[in-house]
Amino acid sequence: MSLKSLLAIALGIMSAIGGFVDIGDLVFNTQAGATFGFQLLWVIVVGVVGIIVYSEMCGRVSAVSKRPVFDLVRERAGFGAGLTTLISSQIVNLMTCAAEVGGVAICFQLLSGLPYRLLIPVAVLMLATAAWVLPFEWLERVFGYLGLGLLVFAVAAIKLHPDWGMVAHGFVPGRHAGGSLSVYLYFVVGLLGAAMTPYEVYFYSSGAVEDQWGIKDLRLNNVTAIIGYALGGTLSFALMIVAAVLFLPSGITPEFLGTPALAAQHELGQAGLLLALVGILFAVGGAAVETSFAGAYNTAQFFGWRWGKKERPAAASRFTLSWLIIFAVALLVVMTGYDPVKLTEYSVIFSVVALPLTYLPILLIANDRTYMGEHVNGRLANVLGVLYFGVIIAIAIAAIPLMLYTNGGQG
Amino acid sequence: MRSGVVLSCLAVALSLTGCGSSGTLGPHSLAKRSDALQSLAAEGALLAQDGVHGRTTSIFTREHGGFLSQAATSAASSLATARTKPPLESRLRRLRALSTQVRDQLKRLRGASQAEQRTLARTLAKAADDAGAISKSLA
Repeated sequence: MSLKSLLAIALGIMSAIGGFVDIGDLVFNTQAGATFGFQLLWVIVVGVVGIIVYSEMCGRVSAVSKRPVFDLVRERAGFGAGLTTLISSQIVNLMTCAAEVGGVAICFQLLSGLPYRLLIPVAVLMLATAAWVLPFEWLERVFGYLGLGLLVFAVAAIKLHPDWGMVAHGFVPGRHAGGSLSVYLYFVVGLLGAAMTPYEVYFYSSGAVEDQWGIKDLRLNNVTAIIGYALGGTLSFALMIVAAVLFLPSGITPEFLGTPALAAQHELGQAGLLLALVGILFAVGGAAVETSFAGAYNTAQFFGWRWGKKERPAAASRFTLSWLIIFAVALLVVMTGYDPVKLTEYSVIFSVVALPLTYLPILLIANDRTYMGEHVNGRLANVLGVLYFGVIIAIAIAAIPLMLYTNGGQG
Repeated sequence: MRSGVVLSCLAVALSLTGCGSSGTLGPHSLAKRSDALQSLAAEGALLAQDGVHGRTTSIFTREHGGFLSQAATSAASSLATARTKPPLESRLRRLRALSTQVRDQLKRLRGASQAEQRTLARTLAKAADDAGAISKSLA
């Protein structure tokens, strides 16, 4: 393998790590750690393996067929099923994008001290400008690399000297303590939903087409999906560990986006605080761009419009208009004053309900020789794919009842 | 018939989520309010403590303190009008007093000097402990 390829892989991994965490992970990982300590660490492992399995399939489908997944969903599933998938994914995309935009505005507020309501349109304007101006690979890199500021939580987790025996114990599912079973299950569902959000696979698949992946890039796909997401998952571990060590004993339930940053400042002072806020800002900002693009990709691919960041905006005008509209609607939602953290909780839970519609077509297409030829799923990919689809069905059924019964995890 | 079923489902959903309650708090709801107050006070104490040790910025203290203070104001006003059963009345009174104290302290924290932050860190930590004790007594 050439030095250039290794560099490309290293850069891909770095941006995957920085881009792994979004507002859903920040909210659910810290709340779970503050409520159940280390006991839910195993769920992050389950979620990370799930997103690896399906992202690898998505990347492989795109690299082999040279077409993104949603394009094939429409073709294979037909208009009705395709439209249902499109509508459900768009609702979740919009909610998630609004929550991320609100998160960006809050980070700006915590960094600048300017009023939140003024910063919402500023945030949207800056994100839309970045999305318009930056080429696709730079969009991934800028947000991914600056999102690496979140590594400060890994340092804080080590400096907080957790009981590593207890941490290791958290990777084994077992009897829970310290909260009701329904709240425990609510967090299991939320953590899985936050790790396996639909927009990530749609964006990953369309991104593979944007980057013009072919058969030769299948190894890059494997490495980026497996190592990038696995290392990105360590950020989720770190968030849960700091919450378990610092917040749980004091009875702090993180209800604000700034609360995780408290952990970084407590251990690493002002530098830690600034790194945490910048990391959150770019992680959440990157996710806002990804959700708006995922929405535009899906719409354009469903209706057969010209699409892609590589196209000039005027050449792919309906695609460009689609992501601009998603930003505009997100702006309106956040301007109503609805709390972005609450919105995040709802968007994650609703995304869980929509998960089967996202992942079943991927599993079917990855097994279809018409599209995949000799690159159809192997035995391992199918065993894991089917196993995870079972998990997805179970959590999709349980999500809304658990949210209502536990009052959004409040108990 | 169909609208009756929809209304019944809505009523069940609202009762499950706690919406539409008349303000009469049972032990479980009162414990949840105590937990929420404990969380706000403890987070304020941590923020104040970091301020004392120069680990935070004045902007972060003011803005994050603002979020905490806003939540404490809303908790205090909701407790001010809440009612409970006679055996729990004394604990509700204590919680009301604590909530106004936490609200006022979090307001002060936003612009406090280092010396004031030291005092606030102590009093907020004490308020968090007291709220935690009320919650435990209701368990």
